[in-house]
Amino acid sequence: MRGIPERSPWPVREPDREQWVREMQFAVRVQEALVGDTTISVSGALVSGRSVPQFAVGGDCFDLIPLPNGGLRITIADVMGKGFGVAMLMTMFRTAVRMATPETDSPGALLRRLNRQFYGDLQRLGSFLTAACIDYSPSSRQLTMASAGHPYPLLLRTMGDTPEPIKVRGVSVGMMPDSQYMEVSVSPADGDKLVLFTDGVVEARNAEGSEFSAKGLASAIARLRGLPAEVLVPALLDTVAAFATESGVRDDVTLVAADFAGPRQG
Amino acid sequence: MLSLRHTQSGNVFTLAIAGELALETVDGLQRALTARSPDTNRVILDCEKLLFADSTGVNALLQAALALKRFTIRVDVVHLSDDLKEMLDILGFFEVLDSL
Repeated sequence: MRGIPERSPWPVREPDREQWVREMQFAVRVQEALVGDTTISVSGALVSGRSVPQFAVGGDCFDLIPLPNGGLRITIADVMGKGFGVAMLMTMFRTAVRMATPETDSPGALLRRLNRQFYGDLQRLGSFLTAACIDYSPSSRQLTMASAGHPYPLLLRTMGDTPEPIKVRGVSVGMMPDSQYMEVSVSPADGDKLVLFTDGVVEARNAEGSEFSAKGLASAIARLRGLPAEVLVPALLDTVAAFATESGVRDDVTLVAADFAGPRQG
Repeated sequence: MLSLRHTQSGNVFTLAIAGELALETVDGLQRALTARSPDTNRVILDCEKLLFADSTGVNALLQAALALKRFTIRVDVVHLSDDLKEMLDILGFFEVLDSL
């Protein structure tokens, strides 16, 4: 298979191996810059995230966008498939989130707008993506969230033994032309932790073929609950890596964790 | 590994999907569905032995089901494990299928 456009009106030189390597290296740098380690602190919340592609680049992303009210918009997304093509879609989606954020006052409105924007392209490509968006408001101490087919966020209460899923649902982006996205609000208390993830985390497999699973992730979060968000994220990634064999991580993996600790932070 | 076995009983075509429906295996699904007879008016996708589906696999299942529904063929996805059913439910699979 040739790695150049088939419908170019003029002869296109097929890149040699060195050219491919250079392009790949730059693509990796771009992705590292977009979805590498990121930690943001706002009043009452500390949020940290990291995305690790299965191959050189991938289709997962997350973003932490400060809001004018002093709060934070947290997004996480997972484009169907793997590799360079989905990485291009991921970059488009992340940019669209940033562009739309100043003009959308709620997570549901953001997802509705992005779905309308991406529906045509994703339909043509026979693809879809999942995404979740959470707005944190420091004044009301409230998290408002909406989901487009994304795995449920997990909330570990200070008094709870294990994290509980926040069951917020909506149709994946690109599946229906005019989806509506319901919103769910929760009020985190001091010491609570929120974790968002992509399915690559729970689908990682060990040598026996067992999945890490949502239950395994919940157990790991409970066990590591004493760690601050920016330490919890790499610790959870290490836990997944220790569970999975070398070939057991079969998808891009993204984790975002948030600590809520009263208005002292930030 | 993905294993696909089909049976035709009158107007009903049943496709038993076993193993893993993922990026590496999805191509066989569409091909298997072309084995139905032209007068098929109902397709049963039997997922009793479907162990795993990644997002590409779910999409293949959805696109296949939607294509059949556009031919006014009734599609039933049956015997899903609880985990897969929840996954499809979260993704919006059933909502999209019911919208046609």
